[in-house]
Amino acid sequence: MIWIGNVSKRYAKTGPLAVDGLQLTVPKGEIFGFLGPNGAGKTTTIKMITGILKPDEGDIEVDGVSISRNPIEAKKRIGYVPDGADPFSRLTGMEYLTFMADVYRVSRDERNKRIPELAERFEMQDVLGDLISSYSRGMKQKISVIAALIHSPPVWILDEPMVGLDPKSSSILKDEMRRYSENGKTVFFSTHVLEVAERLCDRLAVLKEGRLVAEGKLEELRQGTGGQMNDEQTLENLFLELT
Amino acid sequence: MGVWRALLWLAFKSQFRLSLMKHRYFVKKERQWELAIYIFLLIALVPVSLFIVVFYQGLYLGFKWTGQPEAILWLAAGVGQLAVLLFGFFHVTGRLYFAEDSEGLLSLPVTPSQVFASRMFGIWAAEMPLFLLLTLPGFLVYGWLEGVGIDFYIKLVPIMMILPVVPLGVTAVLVMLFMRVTNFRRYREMIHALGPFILIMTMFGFQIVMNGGILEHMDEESTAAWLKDSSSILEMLKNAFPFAIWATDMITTSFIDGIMSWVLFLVGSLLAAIFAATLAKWLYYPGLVSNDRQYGKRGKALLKKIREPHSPLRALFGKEWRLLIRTPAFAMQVVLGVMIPPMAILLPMWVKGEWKQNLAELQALPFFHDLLIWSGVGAVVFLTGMNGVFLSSVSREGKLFSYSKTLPVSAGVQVLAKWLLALAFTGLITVMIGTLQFFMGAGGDVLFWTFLLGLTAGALTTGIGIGLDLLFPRLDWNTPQEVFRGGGKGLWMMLVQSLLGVVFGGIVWLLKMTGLPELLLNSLILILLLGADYGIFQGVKRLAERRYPDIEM
Repeated sequence: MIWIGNVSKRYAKTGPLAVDGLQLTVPKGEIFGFLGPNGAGKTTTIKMITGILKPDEGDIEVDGVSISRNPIEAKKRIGYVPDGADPFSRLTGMEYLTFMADVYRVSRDERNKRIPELAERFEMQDVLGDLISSYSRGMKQKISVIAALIHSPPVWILDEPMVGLDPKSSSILKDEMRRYSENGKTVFFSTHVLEVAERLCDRLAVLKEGRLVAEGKLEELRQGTGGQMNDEQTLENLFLELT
Repeated sequence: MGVWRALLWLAFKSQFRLSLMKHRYFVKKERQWELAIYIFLLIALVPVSLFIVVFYQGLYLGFKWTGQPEAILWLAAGVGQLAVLLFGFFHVTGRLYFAEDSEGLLSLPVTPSQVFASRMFGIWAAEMPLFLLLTLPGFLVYGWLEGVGIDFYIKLVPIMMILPVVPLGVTAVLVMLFMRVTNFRRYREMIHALGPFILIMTMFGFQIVMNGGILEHMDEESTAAWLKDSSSILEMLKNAFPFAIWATDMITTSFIDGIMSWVLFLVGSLLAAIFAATLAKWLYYPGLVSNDRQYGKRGKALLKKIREPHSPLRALFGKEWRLLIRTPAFAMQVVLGVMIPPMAILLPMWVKGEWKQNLAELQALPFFHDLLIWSGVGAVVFLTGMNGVFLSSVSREGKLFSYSKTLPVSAGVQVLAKWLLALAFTGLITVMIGTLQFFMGAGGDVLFWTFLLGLTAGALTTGIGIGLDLLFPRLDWNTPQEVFRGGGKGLWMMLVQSLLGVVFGGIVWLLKMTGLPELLLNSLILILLLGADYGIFQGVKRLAERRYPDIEM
């Protein structure tokens, strides 16, 4: 579960609010899509959830643990795939995965099971001995996904996860996200691909200029109960109208 | 012309990070204290410049005495060109091939030669301050002391601007050839790292030749006799740096008298630039675009034998180690910082065959034993300071620092891993110094105390350095070389090291005066250092816990 309580963030002291009083709850077992135009504050929000940025106001809890009061415990509960994932390029894929397994304290049995399983699922077995710098963008994205799942976290956060993936990899990732939520875990992801959000998400939120302008199930948004919408529309129309 | 103007302006802004600085200091109004540091560094250049002026003044008087005052101009121009050639090698490699925006222009409708030329323009602009610092004082000293006319200073402007072109052109051609040849293999990065090593070894080879031949005349005959000798450095300059000679001719004679030198200088420089740009047409892009993707079977084999779990601290240490060693710019800084100073001191002694005599004189000293220990400790601390591992601990992470912040490991543990890495290098330095001491006839007790005191003193230095880097990290670098440049951290570290040297030196001296037995004295110093290490470690740990959440990028 993710709980975002009235969070605000400003980058420059006198600049505009990048995130303005955001209030959001994402329960267990849900795939939650975070939408919004460029510069709406999606990545800033995700960076605050993962502990990269400190909120100016408000608090965030991950699986019931406050990221500001108990950051280490909260981070243990998160698997994070950043936007344009470009992990430690001078490590090999396998070195990166075992490093992540070590810092997340994944046991020998678990890593022996999960690394081959995930590598096979994302078709990365053949390149694990190569430096990440030699990977394509899609391969970097896939190794980041595997690294994020290595400790089987209760909350999986992905920032623009479909960027750079080929259709097959994209499909595998979507299946993985569904499988993850079916196991009672939370998947929170930002995307510009509205089709993906439409097909995959249990609930959606739309952010504009740092403020939440709509939240709810797609049907609710379409019927006007999840925000300011009032007609049956496609998500694209909704998005364009909202933003 | 529009394309050229756009490319040159982009290269200039990218080279000096003008947009970034404008945004940071004047739009976001962040870290404005850095401006004060830049001003401080500029002010610090004044005494350095004065020192160079005084140095050239001495040389001028020497050359004047030999009847060749204009030799100061040859020398100044040659030194500047040599500096551009040597430093340019790293700079050109970094900017052309390892900059994060290296490949950004590949897709644009511009030719490789245009991209290359614009990048070289940025490099030229960045090399100019160093070139001017080393060369201009020599010309100014000559101008003042010879009482030359205004035409000297007018001609000085184009000469100063054009002199670095040839060494930069030569460097660029060498770098492009090297990168093209080494771009086919799996271990491209490692092969690239060998380039600067080869360069350094060449420098040492040059030093051996100089020490073995030319320079040995200096201490036997007068400077004048040496300067007039056919194998003198001036003769060498004529052969190695003809552009320095032409520049001297251009500036010391009238335009008509020096017309031939003007033609040779301008045409030669132009040809060097055109040749490099033409070569870039074939060599630059193929060398830039990596071709090292491998699809082997090793990955599958690795899956059958996944290594045992490690503690987060050990995993972080391993990561830090690999990233350091596998990034050529970082590895070079570390290795060269450790290798160059002892080689620069010991090699000439070895070449000249003076080491036996020097050693015998040292061994005859009544305080040889103490000298070995404390000079050994001093050398460990000095070389630890030179390698820069600790002073770039946080900055080396660059944009990946935000990644580290997501890890469920406390900032204290992350910093401890960095400290242990820096200490590993201090350990290597201690072993190296111990080996030297052994060959100088040191006994077991000297090696024992040097190891313990050197390591604990080195730990203190590294701890303070990591603290400095935590306070002033440089994470927004574009090329790895930038991590080690600017910001004044090195200057602060030198000040801190000097202060600590004075304090601990004073304590050792005071304890010596009390006539304490060596065992007790060294043990007291060791306990003092261990206490200071512990205090610094706790301080740095707390600082890290406080700074990590605050460092945003």
